[in-house]
Parts: sequence; structure tokens; C-alpha cells
Amino acid sequence: MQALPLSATDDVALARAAAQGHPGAAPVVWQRFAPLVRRILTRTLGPGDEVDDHVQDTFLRFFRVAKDLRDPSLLSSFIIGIAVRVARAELRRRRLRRWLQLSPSGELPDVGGAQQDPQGRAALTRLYDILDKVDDRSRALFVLRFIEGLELTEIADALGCSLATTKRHLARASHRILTAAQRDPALSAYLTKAPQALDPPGSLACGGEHDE
Amino acid sequence: MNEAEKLSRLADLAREGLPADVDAAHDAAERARFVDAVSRGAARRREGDLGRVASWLRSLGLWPLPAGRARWGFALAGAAALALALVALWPSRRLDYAVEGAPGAAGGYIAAAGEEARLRFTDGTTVALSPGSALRVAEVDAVGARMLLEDGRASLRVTPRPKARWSVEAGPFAVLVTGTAFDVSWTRGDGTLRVDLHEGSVTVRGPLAPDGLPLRAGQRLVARMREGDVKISRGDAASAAGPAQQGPSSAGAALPGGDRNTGPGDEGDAGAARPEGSRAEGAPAGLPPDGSAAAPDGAAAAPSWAKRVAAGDFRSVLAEAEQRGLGGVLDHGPLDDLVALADAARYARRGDVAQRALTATRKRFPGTSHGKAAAFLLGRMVDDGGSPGAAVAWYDAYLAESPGGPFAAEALGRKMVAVERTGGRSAARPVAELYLKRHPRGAHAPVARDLVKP
Repeated sequence: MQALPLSATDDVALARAAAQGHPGAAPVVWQRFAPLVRRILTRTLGPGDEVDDHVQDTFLRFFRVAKDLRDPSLLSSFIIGIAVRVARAELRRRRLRRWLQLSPSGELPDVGGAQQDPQGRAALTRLYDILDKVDDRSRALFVLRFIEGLELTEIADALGCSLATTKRHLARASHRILTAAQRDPALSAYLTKAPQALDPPGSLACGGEHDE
Repeated sequence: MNEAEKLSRLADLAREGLPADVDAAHDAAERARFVDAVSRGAARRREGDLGRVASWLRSLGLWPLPAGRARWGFALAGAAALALALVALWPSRRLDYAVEGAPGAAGGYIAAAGEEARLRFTDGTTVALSPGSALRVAEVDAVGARMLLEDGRASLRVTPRPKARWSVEAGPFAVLVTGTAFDVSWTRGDGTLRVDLHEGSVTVRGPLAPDGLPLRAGQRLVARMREGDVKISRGDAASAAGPAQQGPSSAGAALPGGDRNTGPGDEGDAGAARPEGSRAEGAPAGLPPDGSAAAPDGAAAAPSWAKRVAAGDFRSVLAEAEQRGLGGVLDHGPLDDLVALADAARYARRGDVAQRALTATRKRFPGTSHGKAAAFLLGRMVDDGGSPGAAVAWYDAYLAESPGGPFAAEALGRKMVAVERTGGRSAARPVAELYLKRHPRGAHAPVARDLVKP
């Protein structure tokens, strides 16, 4: 049902309410999409980056442009698209900082995320080193498809591409990332490690959803 | 290990290494920050107005000019004008309200047990709640309130004020109001909404009218979720029928045939201008005007099921699914179609089809967000069907699969209520404590707070 005050409100009604400035839309939009937006931003930007402000930025941008959403049923893709643009803007800022040498690497020193074991931390660092070297679109595609497990159609809508283009870019991005990962000693070792040799779930501070 | 497995391993690495969950308190604080920022948007617009006033005063020489050209006499006059403008533009105070006739009202929840309950807002707006009805005041701000009519009938007299914004939500419908007098009743059992508009104008929005249906004074709207139709009747017919159909239990009663006719003076009303008797009466203007709005137009490219559901056209989705063969759709249809079919069936009160579609979604697409959401929706269906025990299992399944999912708060809140119904307050107390910890500002928070009281 589409009862607006309930979190069960469907996306169409919620999008229309947001576009019309309904006072109840903001908390419902947050409740429904904040976890997804936070995951996308966290995993697109990588370790060491505080995403709270970017999450806020994503939703505030959404409310500024909600009236421009032509197909309310695409609310989720619309918000994902904004989150991706916010993440890409931050990546551009990072590159600029790096270019201006505001920090030696343009990165924050504490990387490695929640991984407890040294090998996992090293692998995570190397993965994001690789993602730093691919273009932002490939990085976003990798995150949306493989990490977040979104449908191809949803990704295409979010990025404003056709399905065929999305598939083509995704194939290219995954090939590029996988090739680089296999050439990297730390990641290569991680990839060839038997699953049972990896950390049990309890050793990681991971409480998020797994879509696979 | 093939390439897909390696990519999956890399994705696992990122997921496990970069958990994105935040604790409930942090999320609540961030949400409050965001909601506050959105609500401040209006204040910023007011600042924009103030800026325009300053510019106008400056153009008249009544605003301090840059150093060297200051004219202090005019500046003082400008300051006085500014003070006046500030008074005029200062944000209004939040409304407040008092409840009469419902001694147990708490946390914005008002249930009129044996007698009529009445809410009086500080701007003069009143809401009379018929015996046996229940209403929740979800939000109150300076320009109005958002109320949820859970069951029964409410009569509102909204004091007309500039920029007033009131809404009454009943099931999937929302009645948006500025200044008016109307009765609204919602019968949850059969999903029937009835709005009798006495003065002013309102807009009714919901799954059968996603674009909103404007109503004029004297008109009656009856929306039946089960049949999937909306009817707008003439004012005199509504008045004539009124007394006999005032009670909440009569909301789903059949309308007189005359109710379906629309007077010639109602052309401006998108819903009322439709021919009589068809569900297209209540459909948005973009839908075909004939009674077969459900059917696609010939061989032209039919809109997707999802789009048809969004337009309130549930019947055509169900009809097409049955024409294709329900089993085939459930076994081989794409995810989008399964989701749309489940939605259409739920909205059209075809619980059997909805249950099969949701079960198929879970079975065939278990890892997707829709597959996970299906657990919550199945729980809600059996819950509403009177099996809270079975519902708890579904809610638990959803919460286990999607602890941060879009329905997490609702699932936990409903679980709390279901546990209370099956096991009593003591059994529900731990769930209530968990709910308050995770969703301190959630919709079920008042109920949870009540449950945790010793």
C-alpha cells in the first residue's frame, strides 16, 4: 500500500510527495534510502573517508531536484544516480587535492577499513589503489553491480545510460579491475586463498546486507 | 575459480572491509539533521524574500548604502522597515492541539472509544473523531498537521490560513487540504475510503489516483481498493445519502445509482468529468477515459506492468497475468513483472495472487532487495489476515536478511505489535526496547514507549 506515513509507502507516491514538498516525505525518503546511499558512498569512496556529509549532500540535492523526476517509479535509480554523482565529485576533489599536494598522496593515512587481518587489510588497500587508477564510471559500475548487487536496469537508469552501454562499460570495467587485481601480489594471494582460509564473518565488523 | 567468482571475492572484500552500517542513534541524528535542513529550505526562501525587500529599500534610498554615501536618516527608516519585515516574515509558531473525549490519548494516538473525541488545534482547526475510530497525529508544524486515520470516520473543519497545509492519510490515500470542512472515513477491513466535502477544496491522492483527484464543495469521493475503482458523486446526492451512511461501518455500502453521475458544472474536476461507472472516473487524466482503462490499446506498445501499477491500473495487470497463465508468469516472468504483479494483487485485494507472486519472488530472486522485501510483505499480509504468529516469522526473516533495509523499522514495529497480541506485553517488551534503541523516532515509538513502561 502507499500510505505515506508508513515506511511501506511505494516509491511512486513517495516521489510525488517529495516533489510536492510534503512535510512527511523527508524522513521516509531517508529511512528508505539512507542505508543504500551510505553503502554506495562508503564503498565508492573507499576506506578512510567519512561519508556522513556526502549522504546529507545526496539527499539535499535530491530534494532540490525532486520535482524534475519525470518517472516517479524510478525514484530509487534517481537517488542512486545522485549518490554516484556526489561520489564522483568527491573523487575529483581528491584528485585535485593530490595534484595540489595538500597531502603527500591525497589520501588519508588510515586505510584498511574494518578488516582485522593484515592480509585482508592489505588486499582492501590494494583493491582501492586499483579503483583509484580506473575511471570514475568504471569504479561506480563495479560498486553498484558487484558490491551492491544492483540490477543492470537499475544501474542503467541511475547512470543515465542505455542497458547495452551499461553492459559494455561494465564488461570493460570488470575486465580491467580483475586483470589489475590478478597482477597485484597482495590481491592475487587473496583471490587464490581458499574460502575457508578467509576470516570468518564474526571477525569482521560487517553487519551490512549481502545481496549475493 | 572463474572470473565471476573472483569478482565476487573482490566485492566481498570491499563489503566486509567497509561496513556501511551505522548505529540507530547515529542514523537518527543524521536523519534529524537532514529533516531539519529540508525544513530550513522554507526559511531560506524567507531569507530570499528579505533580501528582495532589502534590495527594494535600497533602490528607494531607505537602506544603508556603501560607506561614503551613507544617508543615516534613510538608514534608520530602513532599519524600521526591516524590523517590520522581520516581524512579518518571522517563522510562525508550531501549532499545538488538545484532545477532548479520549482520556487515553497518548503519543499522538487518539482512539474514540464510546464517545466522540475532538482535537482542537491552536489555529481553530477541529477534528471530530466518531466513536470507534482511531487517528494518529503524525506531525504538527506551523502550517498544519499530518494525521493518519487508522480506521473509522473523522470530520474536519480546517481554518483557512495562507500557506496552510493539512493532510489526512487513510490507508494508501492522502487527502490534502488547505482550508475546508469535510468528513473522511476509512474502513480498513474492505479498504474503502469515503470523502464528503462540505466546503472548500481538497485533493485526494492514492494508488487509484496517483496524480491526485481534486474535489469541490458538495462532492463525495468513494474509493474501493478491493474493486480498484474510484467514484465521485454529485453534491446533492452525497447530501441526500449522508445521514444513512455516516458511520464507519457503512463506508463500504453500495452507492445509489445516481451517485455515479456527475453534474455538468463539474467539468473542471478531472475525476468527476469521467463517464459514469468506470474505474477511469478516478483515474488520472492521462488514462483512457473508457471503462476498459485496464486493457492496453490495441497493438500499440502497452506500458509495463510496473507503470500500470503506478497508474493505479491493477486490473489490467492481473487480467494479463491470468491471460498469459499465472503459473508461467510466476515461474518464468522477469523480476519486474513479478514485483508489479504482487503489487497489483495486493492493491486489488487479490491476496491469493499476491502471496503466490511474493513467494515466487523470494524463491526465484532470493538475493535481491525485492526478494528480501517480499518477506516483509508476506508478513504484513498474514498479519492483516489475522495471523500475527505467522507474521512474526516473516518479519524475523526480513530483519535477518535486511537489517538495514527499507522496511526494517516497520517490520520491527509490526513484530512488536504482533508479539504483544500473541504473547502479551511482557513478551513484547524486549522487542519494544530493541525498537526504541534502533528507531527512537520511528512511527511505532509511542507504542514501544508504552510497552516498556513497568
